[in-house]
Amino acid sequence: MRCPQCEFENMPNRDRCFQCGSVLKEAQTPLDVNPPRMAYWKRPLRYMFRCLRQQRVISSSNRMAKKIPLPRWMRKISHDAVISVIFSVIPGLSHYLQKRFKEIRWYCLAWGVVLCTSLFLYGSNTGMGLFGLTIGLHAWIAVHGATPKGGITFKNRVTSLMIMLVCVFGLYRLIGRTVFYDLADGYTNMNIPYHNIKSGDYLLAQRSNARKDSLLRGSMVLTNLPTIGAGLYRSQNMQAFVEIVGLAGETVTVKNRRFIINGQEKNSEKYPVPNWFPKKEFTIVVPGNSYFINPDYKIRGDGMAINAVMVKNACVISANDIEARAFIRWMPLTRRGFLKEIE
Amino acid sequence: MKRFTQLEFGENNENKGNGPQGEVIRDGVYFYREALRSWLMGDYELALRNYSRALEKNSTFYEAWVGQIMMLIELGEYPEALVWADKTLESFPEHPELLAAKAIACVRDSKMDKALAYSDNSLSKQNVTAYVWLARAEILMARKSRMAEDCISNAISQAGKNTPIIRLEAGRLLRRKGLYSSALKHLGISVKNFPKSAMAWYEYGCCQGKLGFKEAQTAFEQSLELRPGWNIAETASNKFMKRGFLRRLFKI
Repeated sequence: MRCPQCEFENMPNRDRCFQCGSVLKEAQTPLDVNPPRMAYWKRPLRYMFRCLRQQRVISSSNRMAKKIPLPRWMRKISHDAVISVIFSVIPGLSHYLQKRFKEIRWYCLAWGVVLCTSLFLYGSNTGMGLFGLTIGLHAWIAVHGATPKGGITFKNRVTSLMIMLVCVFGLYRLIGRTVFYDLADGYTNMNIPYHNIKSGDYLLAQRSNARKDSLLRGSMVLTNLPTIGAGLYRSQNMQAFVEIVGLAGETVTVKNRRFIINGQEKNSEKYPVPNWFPKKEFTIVVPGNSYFINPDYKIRGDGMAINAVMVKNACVISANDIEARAFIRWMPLTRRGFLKEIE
Repeated sequence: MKRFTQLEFGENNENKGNGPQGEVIRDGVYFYREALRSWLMGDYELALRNYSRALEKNSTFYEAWVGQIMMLIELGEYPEALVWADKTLESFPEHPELLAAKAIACVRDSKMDKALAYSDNSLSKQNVTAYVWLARAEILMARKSRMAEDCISNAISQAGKNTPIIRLEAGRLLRRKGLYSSALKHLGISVKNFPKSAMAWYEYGCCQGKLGFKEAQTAFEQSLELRPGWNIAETASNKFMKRGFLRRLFKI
């Protein structure tokens, strides 16, 4: 029975208040004797938090920790701050647990937007810049969650931010290596030779006049393929990605289904000879400001009419015919990577 | 501690009041005894319900309020136990046992600072009971202090009529903290005091199992006989039986 004067909760059947002695009236509502119960889904979460708190208990009783010569400001860092940083692996989670999510919601939204944009544009300068901004936002959110308002000086906050930047960078790198584990030499910043391009891959090509003069062997370029004649044809349009095999001024010999450039035999896997090439050995000298490519054509008939002249007409292209250079394999995501000139 | 003063077991100890033809009067005391019986059988949910029923009959029944808090702690619902203890403290202000119950809830929820504060507060009151000393012992054990054993001795010495229950609680506490040989001493006496308590036999079996005694299997079987189908006891029994050679060798 609640006392109307001092609002003290008295036991039922009392005439006067236990605390102030005023007269009590009969309570209208009965006393609730059923305790609140925990929702079943909360059990694993509470268990996890309890385990984390237990770790703090052990560390707080560890006398050796006090002997570590930490900077003075670092010794002020509370265990709550450390746990907050751990939860900040997911931006905003620490704030949510501290019921401070409103303070950081726009930063979390910005982080999400910038992250998605940076992943979409990953590989370009803009994408890398946005990725750096993502890391910065994540570190800022983590520091914000670990430090209460007014509880730390500007200098210490900057130092904490620097430390968190390094930690978050390492975290993102670790996640990238873990998620894209099947990519050699890294996660997305990988160099992929032409012969690793598979059917269904999407490529990004860059148009640049300056690049046409400095293309290397193995580059993948977009070019208009010439129409050869009745013997060779292409069922699709005549613009295609091809690999540069020979550079200007080089002597290209095809023998035993292998390219021989200036007397040096090239790997048939890296520089595959198209199937429509004649079986007889032939040699072509690449003129200046031109490149030797290995396009795919379909053969009409038995292909016996194809000769070295037709090969030269099909495979030697002027630098001006090159539309663009492919520099990144975009899709699918797990096969993303920069395309590498072999030599 | 008054809450166990009305504890009697046996077929002749039913509350046969003035009801017609000697029927059992289902008042607060009846449900309170049923709650204690359920607790000794390890059925904490049923014990909690019976405590609530006891309070529905008599809302001034202090021991039932404390029993509810203890059952919430046994069920691992520590924040709820704290809330309920606060509500009970409104009616029984500054009661040392309630403060000790809050300390227990905090220490099991790994909130050491609060637990210590509540325990200090409870010890500063008058009429400190055995339960307060048990709570203190649990906190000191969590801090790995050697004073915990003294607190247990204090608790048992102050228990009076409730010594069997306090000894059982002490044995459970020691088992929980891994002090099996000390726990075995108390639990061995407890199973003699409560031969029909499945929970006491289970605790006894756990201690014996950890120390590598074969008698643990007998204790588990006794527990399962008293409460058939009890999952915890079945799991412990199966685990004990499936121990490998190395575990048996090193008595893990």
